[in-house]
Amino acid sequence: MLLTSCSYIPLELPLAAGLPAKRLFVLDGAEVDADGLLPRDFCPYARALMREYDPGDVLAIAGSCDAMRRAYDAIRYWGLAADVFYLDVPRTADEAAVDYFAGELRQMARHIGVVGPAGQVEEQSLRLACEAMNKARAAMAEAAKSLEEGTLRASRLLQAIMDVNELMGDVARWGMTWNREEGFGREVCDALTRAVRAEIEKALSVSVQPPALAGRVRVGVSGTCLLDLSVVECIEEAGLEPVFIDSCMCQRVYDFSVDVNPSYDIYMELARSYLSKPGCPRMFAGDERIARLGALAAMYGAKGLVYFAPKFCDLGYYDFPDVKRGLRESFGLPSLLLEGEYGAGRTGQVLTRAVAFREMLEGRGEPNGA
Amino acid sequence: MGPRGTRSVGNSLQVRAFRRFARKPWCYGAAKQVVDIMERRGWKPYQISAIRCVMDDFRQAYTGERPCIYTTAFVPTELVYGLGAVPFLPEVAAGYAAAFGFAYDALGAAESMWYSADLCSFHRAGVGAGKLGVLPRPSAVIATAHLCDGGKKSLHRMSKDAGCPFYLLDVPYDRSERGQKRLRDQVEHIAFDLPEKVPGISPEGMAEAIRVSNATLDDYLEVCALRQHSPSPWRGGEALNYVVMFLGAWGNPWLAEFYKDLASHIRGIIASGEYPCCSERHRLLWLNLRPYYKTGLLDYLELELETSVAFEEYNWPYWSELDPDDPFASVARKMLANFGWGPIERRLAAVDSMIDDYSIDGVVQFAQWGCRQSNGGASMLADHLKRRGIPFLNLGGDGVDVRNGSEAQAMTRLGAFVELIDAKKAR
Repeated sequence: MLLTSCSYIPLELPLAAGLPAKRLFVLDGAEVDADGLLPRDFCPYARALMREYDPGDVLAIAGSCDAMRRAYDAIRYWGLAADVFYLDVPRTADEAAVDYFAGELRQMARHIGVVGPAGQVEEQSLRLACEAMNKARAAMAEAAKSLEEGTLRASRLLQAIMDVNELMGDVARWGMTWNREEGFGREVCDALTRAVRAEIEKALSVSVQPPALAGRVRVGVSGTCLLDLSVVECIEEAGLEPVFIDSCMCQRVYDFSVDVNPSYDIYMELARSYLSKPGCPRMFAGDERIARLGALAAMYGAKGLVYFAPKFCDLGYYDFPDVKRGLRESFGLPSLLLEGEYGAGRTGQVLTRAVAFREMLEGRGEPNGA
Repeated sequence: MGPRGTRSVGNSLQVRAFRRFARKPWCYGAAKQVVDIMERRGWKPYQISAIRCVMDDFRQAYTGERPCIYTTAFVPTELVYGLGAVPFLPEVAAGYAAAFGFAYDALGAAESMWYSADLCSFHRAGVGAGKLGVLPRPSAVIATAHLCDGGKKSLHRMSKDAGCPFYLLDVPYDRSERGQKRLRDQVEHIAFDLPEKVPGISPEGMAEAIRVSNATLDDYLEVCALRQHSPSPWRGGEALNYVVMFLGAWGNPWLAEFYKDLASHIRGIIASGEYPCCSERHRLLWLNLRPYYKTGLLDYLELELETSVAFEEYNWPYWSELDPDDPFASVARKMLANFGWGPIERRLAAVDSMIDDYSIDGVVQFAQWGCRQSNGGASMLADHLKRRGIPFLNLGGDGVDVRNGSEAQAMTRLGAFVELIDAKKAR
């Protein structure tokens, strides 16, 4: 299996090589031994990656930030994984960056082609893998619409996306036998698409009736990495209703698609789509992020933004003041910064702050959706 | 940039005075006379050269004599001088702020803007100083993406506040031909795009800046060679103060003067035998920076514990001669040559070279609070040095924010470290 550290690493490539793949969400946090490998004042997610990997796993680490760069070094240096690949992800999405990233993706394809059962990444397989991922993303985006309608809790959506992610790596649940030496064929594409849709439908089947969410103050959630589900659950417990989650565990995973038109270079299209997807704070795209968050808030009727930054996440720490100022000045929206380690949402301190934010928002006017 | 005349966190009397006078040309005339007096009163020629180099750049930046370009620490300044501008490094300014007692004001201003105290204080203080209006007005900002997330993000914010063009040199991770070309193209883009946006900028001086840089490198390599002498002929505690020159003045003719004077000074010390640490017991390699606020830490180490800091990681010349006929590729190659970028093995190899060249007995990493790129390598560094039998100390502290540094604790740890080296040598 191929495990990835970042939403900028396309799962399409390993799938095309016959390798099941998933994003490595380490929801239970760091193991104790991490202290000896990375400093304590370090990104909790990077520290959580410090663990022994299965000898058959390939780990793909993106150069997202300083912390992930050192996590890559530590995993290699201490021999935690048998095979670790570093993907250099540009910080802009201009044509030169797209061209460079396409080259990096080709290099990644060569690397995993060697270790994958298919022997190489065939273009046809890659296009089908892109198609399957496009459909998976579309299914997740469709489910997210239920947030706007108030029939699905954000924590449930987040759980569904985690479940889909797990499904991606568990071929046995795809409802067919995948001859992985043949790469990613039409039959596999259809099976994966069906399995993802079924997983999403399962999530939607436990949706709540609109009255249950009526009267709650709508907010957006943003940040770098949410680490786990606890922060969103905490926000809900505080009486707020997250209506969008701009995170690499949620919207930034599904809110884009790859153009599979056969007349285009598929690597260029992959590179363009991934670099142009809703941006993470690591990217440099002027005020695009702020404009996007403001537009999302307007679209979903959010009255404020809860920003979560994992403790010691420099990119989040630099992003928040910009977002706070931009949303206040351009959209009149207040923001709340929450920061913490794994399980931050299970602490009384964070809950108290979320409740205080709700009280502040309620004091500003009638909650939306009443 | 800052809210002039407004009451805000950190807007102290000192800050207001600095803001008022720093842009007055006559201040630099007066300062020049003070430096002349210092020279007559026996300050060493290299110290005078350094002050004149910094003062010259500051005058041009603050008075608007030349366009001022903010850069992060690892942008080759040959690019800025070559464009006819003057570089200004806010993170270096943070070091000055600490040395002259402004840091608390700048940090307070940054924190009032919601910047976390868990961020590196060099960048935090830079942003805060910008808010307080004590920095020169930038005509443009150039940041590199390598080594440090804080640098590029803080400068991006400053460019937004100043409303000036921002350029990111997105340095590729590997040194492949493709990566070099990508970076070279970005450098070239800046060199031709910036003149269209900022009056007074032109790429015509690039070749000359590179020639000056090459000549300076020759002088600097002589300084480095002289510093291999044992006992150490120049105190590392002082050398760490001059990192500012090493980071921010390549391409400036004053830098060559400084290194020439410094080489002459060191030669004189070796000839006279008047070493700053006469009975040198051990020689250390110092990684990362040092506290720039008033502290007795380095004096304690070098004078009381008689342990020299023989060389410093951030003074290590990691690039070879640049090609004035191909300036953009040269600047790109210099950035890619940085040993702190790429896999950790590059940094380990650089540390190995320094250990061998400077006969090092032990290595101290000043673990600057919030410096992920450097501190994140500590476990690997420790393991690597252990295998080589070189004692290693990861000394936590903060170069700018005194609240994150405990001098007594650091001294105790340094004392214990020196004892450990004593014991190792006694075995």
